[in-house]
Amino acid sequence: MSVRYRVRHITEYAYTEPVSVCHNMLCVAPTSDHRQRVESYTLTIDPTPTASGERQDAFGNVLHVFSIERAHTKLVIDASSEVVVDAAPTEGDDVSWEDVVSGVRDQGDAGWLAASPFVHDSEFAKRSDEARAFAAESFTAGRPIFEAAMALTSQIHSSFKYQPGATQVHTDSGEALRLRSGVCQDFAHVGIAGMRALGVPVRYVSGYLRTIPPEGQPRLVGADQSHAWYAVYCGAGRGWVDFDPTNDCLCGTDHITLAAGRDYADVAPVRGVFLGGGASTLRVTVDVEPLEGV
Amino acid sequence: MNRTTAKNTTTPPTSPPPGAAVATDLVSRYKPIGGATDTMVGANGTILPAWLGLAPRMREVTADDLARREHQIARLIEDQGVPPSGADGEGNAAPRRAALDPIPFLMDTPGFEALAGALSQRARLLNRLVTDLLTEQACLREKILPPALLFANPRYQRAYHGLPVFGGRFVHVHASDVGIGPDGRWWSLGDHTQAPPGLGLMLENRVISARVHADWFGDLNVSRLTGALEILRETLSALAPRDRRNPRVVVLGHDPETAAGIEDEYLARYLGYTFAVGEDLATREGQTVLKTLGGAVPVEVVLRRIADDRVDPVELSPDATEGIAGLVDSQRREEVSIANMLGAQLGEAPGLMAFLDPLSRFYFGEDLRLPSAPTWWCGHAPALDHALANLDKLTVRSAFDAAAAPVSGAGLTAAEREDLAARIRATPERFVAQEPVGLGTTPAWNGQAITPERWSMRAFALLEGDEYVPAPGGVVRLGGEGRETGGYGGRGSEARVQDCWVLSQSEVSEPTLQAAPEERIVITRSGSEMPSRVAEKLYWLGRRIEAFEHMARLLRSLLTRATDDLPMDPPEGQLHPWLGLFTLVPGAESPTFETAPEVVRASIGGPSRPEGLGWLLGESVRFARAVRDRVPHDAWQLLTQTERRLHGAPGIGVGGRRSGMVDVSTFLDELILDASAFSGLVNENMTRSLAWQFLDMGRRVQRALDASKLLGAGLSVPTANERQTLAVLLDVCDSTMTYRSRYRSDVRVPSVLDLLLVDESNPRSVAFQLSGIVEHLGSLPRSNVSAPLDADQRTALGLLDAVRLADWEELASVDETGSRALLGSLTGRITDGLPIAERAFSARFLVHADLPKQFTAVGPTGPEEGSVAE
Repeated sequence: MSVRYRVRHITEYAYTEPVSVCHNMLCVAPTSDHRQRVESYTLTIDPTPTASGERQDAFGNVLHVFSIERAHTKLVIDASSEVVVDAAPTEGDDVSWEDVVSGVRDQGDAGWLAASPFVHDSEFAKRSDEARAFAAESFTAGRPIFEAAMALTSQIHSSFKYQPGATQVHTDSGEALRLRSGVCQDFAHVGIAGMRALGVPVRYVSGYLRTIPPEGQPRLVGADQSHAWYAVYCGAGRGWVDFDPTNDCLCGTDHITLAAGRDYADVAPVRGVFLGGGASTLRVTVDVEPLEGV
Repeated sequence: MNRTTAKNTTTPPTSPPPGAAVATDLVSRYKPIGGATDTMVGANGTILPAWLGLAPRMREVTADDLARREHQIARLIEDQGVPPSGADGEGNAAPRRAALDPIPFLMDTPGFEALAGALSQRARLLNRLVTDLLTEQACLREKILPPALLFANPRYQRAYHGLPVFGGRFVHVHASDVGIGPDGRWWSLGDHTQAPPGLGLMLENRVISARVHADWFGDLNVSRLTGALEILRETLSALAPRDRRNPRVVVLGHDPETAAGIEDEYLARYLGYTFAVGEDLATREGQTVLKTLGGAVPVEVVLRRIADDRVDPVELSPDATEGIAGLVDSQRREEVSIANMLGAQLGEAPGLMAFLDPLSRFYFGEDLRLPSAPTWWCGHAPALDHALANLDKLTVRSAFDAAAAPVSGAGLTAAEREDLAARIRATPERFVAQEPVGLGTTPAWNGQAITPERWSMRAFALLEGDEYVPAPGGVVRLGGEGRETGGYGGRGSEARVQDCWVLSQSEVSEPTLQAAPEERIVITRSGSEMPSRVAEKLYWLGRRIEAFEHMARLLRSLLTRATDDLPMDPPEGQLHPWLGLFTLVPGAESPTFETAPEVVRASIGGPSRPEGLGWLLGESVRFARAVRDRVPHDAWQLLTQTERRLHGAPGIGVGGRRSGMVDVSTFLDELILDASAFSGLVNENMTRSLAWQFLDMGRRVQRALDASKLLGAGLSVPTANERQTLAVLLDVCDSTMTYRSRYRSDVRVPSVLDLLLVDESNPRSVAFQLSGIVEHLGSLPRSNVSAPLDADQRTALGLLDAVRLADWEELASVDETGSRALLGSLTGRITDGLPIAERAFSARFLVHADLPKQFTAVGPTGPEEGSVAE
């Protein structure tokens, strides 16, 4: 079974003084992949950009590059889309994690090339002895990779404290591992660093989560948030499987994917530079509205 | 440095008696190191072909002659604005470049051609490899190259994929560090594919060596480098997305106050392109533009000298705010072409060297003719084992960063080696181990004799059409007698290099970088294409050099009065009124007659004492260095000479002696003469272009400020012996002679005020400066000619009017409070008003924008636990 969503992601920058020019790159367009289909997508930028363009990066994410070359005190980026998300996979080959690692390393696995960018260090997810030891508690000898990844996901969930404010947007896996606390981004980075230390290919996935209002209450519009998790390469047979360490679950119809990369830096929703502006405030609202089960 | 002072105790007489020369000349005493290939002397002791021309001449050369040539070289390098390594200069933070050895490195044509073909093949291979890595990735798919050598490279950026590649090539300039092993074979020790450093250094070395060794150079048929540069210019023009006949090419370089930036600027000047740093460029509506005083002008080609991932903070490294926001997008829109192409950096990863041989067979079915020094990439388990087992014999380098310093295992203690091994084991894919190739030797000058030194050479290959053509030359790095050069360091305090001369068998023509005769030159008289950054440096050069001259005059005046003009009986415990003027001297709150000489010494100061004489000159040199190609060469040389003079100043500097006040006074005279000569050179030799205007404007602003401050401080409160004060004012403002011619010895406040403040015919008066400023501001380019006056013009005009309307009788009169309040308020208005005008003027011309800020984003936090449905 699948679920159709309407997703709206609004990013607003307000400045105390005019910004004379800004150059940006956005990663706010969901992409169709093994778990979902994007049925429609619109992006509105206010003020209207002087120049803009759209392209796909080497990992298949949709990026927007634009500039605004006249004075403005407010920038609103409004991305909305309709996406159909499939249920979590339930079946697949039971390959041991060591076989996946050697299959990619020795280039015997059919998907080795596509998995290769995701076994190395990246800015926010760096391999270390600590990360390896942490992951090794779940990645025991001969364990099937799907099971091991699920176990590690539970392990992160139970040994880390969910605590907004404990970490920053630029906290890396090493620090999060020491703190044993953080938010979804940190949990994802810790799992990625641990599995990569063992040689397992893992991607960082940014997206959204459907929230279920408490019994008897209406869904609050705009109260949702961006989310992040990881996808583990489980061998050519099973492919990439998404796990959510924040919620200790396999990603299914509640998880809508935005983009995938080596870590947060690859899929940051907004990056770029601006001139002027004085002090700026940023407001992000996300609304995930389930339309129907398909 | 005592090389140049080496006496000729070991030098043979210039005309040796017959029969004695064989044993005593510099060539005969040269003894190669056993086991290394030497460039001059063969295995059987004979002179090799490349040296047959020069060796006989070298036999006639004395050690003194070589020392003289070495000294000339050092001086020529210094004239370029960068002291060579080893040059004196205490507390001198100026950038250094490699010293140039007075012996050239010689190659004959057959020797060079053997290298050239192999180098050309290597350049072609690396270009092909980068192209493949960023497009098809066939070398990965076919398992020729491990994917980690692409994906584990921290410089790898996704933005490199999918960009339009003009001319189909990523690499336009390639360089390889090459050397000869004991068997006489060439080896490559590493490659440079992004923006090979040393291209400018090679040209600069050539210009210097051709000049210093004009006698040898002329006779030896040395192949010229200009042809190679013409190739580069043609290749760059052909890259332009439009206007290929005469595209605007800029060299995007390093900070021009660093050695790397100076080299980049030299290259730009030699090629005839505008030098720019990131802040000089911008993107507008997708186009890449150069920000000039006359507005933004489009740029078609960027020859970038900085790393790939630092050119654009939007799509590449987010912290690269020194780059140009939107440059990658501009290239994607085919508005601009970048050379070397973005992504070319990937080709210089040392880890690739272990795979170039199979890659050459894979792509071309050819063996690699210029083999890499034996390289083990530790990302492969067997290679890692080999590297760890032989760490004491190998050199360890980064697998990805060609510029990272290599570590020789042999030079480490057991504990250090263990530490290194642990680092390699932690991330083996980031390291390579290389075997020393046993580099050859070449004759080099050690200050007394010619001795063999190990060498490696950075050789350059330039794209011409479909082929890579090696430049006939290179930067030869000397490694001393024992040291194997694992890489290359064109800079740094230790580096010593030689210029490589490729000797042609035929007569060498004299090509120059000039347009073909059929192209008509367009006459232009303006230089409005001046980057705003350059205008700013010129302006500050003007301000600092004027402040320097003013300070020197002030100190000289103080000194004169303290030594020969002691006034009679100053009131008990009171300072003499004119001494109050010197509260303008740093560190001299209240000098007395006894402390005055000390104050002078302290105010000359070192380069680090703000507002001191040394600091002001240091600042002038720094700004002049940044705009070296805009000021007359003689003026630049004069400045560096003054700086040398100041470093050897009495009572300051290394080993300076506490000389008498007369010496200091003479010394100040010299500095003032230098400063005046600088002004003269600038005024007589610079066209009345924007460059001159900005320089002159800086000078006018500073002089107006200094004179106003001086008049305000000296006269706004009348004192008992005012004649003294007036004499000092006239002296410091260099108007004593004019005054005497008008009033003889009748020194009074009103007439002095007239001369120094309101007389517009006196080039030292405040009014003269203000009127100059108003005139400059009115003639600078304006974006909107019909608009009313700009804020800076209004302010300056207001000040000029105030001075013109001032009645010097009123200004001179003392009011009931016992002060000259009107004078005080007028000078105060000028010293307050000029900075306001300056700020408005900076905003209009100099500062196009403030520093770029990075966008911050909110990281995903995810909803709180338990909110997800099961």
